[in-house]
Amino acid sequence: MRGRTIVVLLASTTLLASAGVVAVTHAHGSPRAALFDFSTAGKPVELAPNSARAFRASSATLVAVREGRAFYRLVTADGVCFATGPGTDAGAIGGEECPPPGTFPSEARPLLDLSVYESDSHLGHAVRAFRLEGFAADGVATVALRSPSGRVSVRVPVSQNVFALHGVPATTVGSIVALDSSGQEVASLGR
Amino acid sequence: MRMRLCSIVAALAAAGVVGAIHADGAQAGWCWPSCSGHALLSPGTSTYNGCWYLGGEVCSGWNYWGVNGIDKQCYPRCDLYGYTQALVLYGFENGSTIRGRFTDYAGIFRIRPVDVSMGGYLRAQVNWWPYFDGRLSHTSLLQAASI
Repeated sequence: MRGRTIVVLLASTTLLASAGVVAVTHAHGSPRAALFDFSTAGKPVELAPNSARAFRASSATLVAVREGRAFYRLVTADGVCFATGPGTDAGAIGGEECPPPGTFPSEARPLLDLSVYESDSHLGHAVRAFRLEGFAADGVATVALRSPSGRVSVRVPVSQNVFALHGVPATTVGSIVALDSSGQEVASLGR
Repeated sequence: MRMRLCSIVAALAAAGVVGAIHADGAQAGWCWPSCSGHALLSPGTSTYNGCWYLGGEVCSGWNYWGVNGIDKQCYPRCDLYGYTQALVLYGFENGSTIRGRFTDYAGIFRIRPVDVSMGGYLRAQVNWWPYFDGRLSHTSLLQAASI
């Protein structure tokens, strides 16, 4: 009897979750639906042999090159991963993030921040942005840096589902936020 | 029914461990806490080997590292999108700078020194990190491995 209750509960939860996903994904054309889309197809590129080994990748798609940086979608032994590398060396991977399947892009996670942060102090945890870069859903038009007090210090446009900026002003970072085309905040990542 | 549920849970747990070993551990030169397991990274954690921060950090010894990777688990919990409420910085450090990427999501993450514009003799590092927006940054459950 207890087992049957668990099965019924699991089935009900799955049905409700599926209904929710269907409802959201069928809200076509809405700003909300665009947070689930990643429309840049990119083009296949050959991986550098040592990158294929180190990142356990079997294939790569070059999504875009921006600010001297290359942005890739990888198929790896750890699932689909989003990666960056030097723009002058196609197929050479410098870093990656492999989110759990189905989590990016999404309304709750329209931004994959692969920015590099730094500090030269051993005291406290204040950081500066060394370089801004990452991936964003179709519904994200701009990525902005906020100071811990909430002041916007930098805005970077998103194009082809990526954003990148070298030479970030040396201000302390509080969060990185995703803005839609109307300037409304759709996600904020504390840093 | 209970037996079947237990079997599913056991299989998922085993898959997680195997996945972690395969992340980088099989050929790693440095693993934390080991090449076959995960441990909690909290503000009080340390490897006591002279890392950038006295607490909240685990780091390798000095070496010419090629890749630093972490396998961050759903701990203390994950929402549907993998958000863990536990922020970490992972990357590298030298004598003058600590540099890396942040994440508070579960998943596999790898980074090369070149992606943080560093090179030469470095330490691979993973740090517990506080939020600056008032949220509490929880303890992470993760494995780190570098080659």
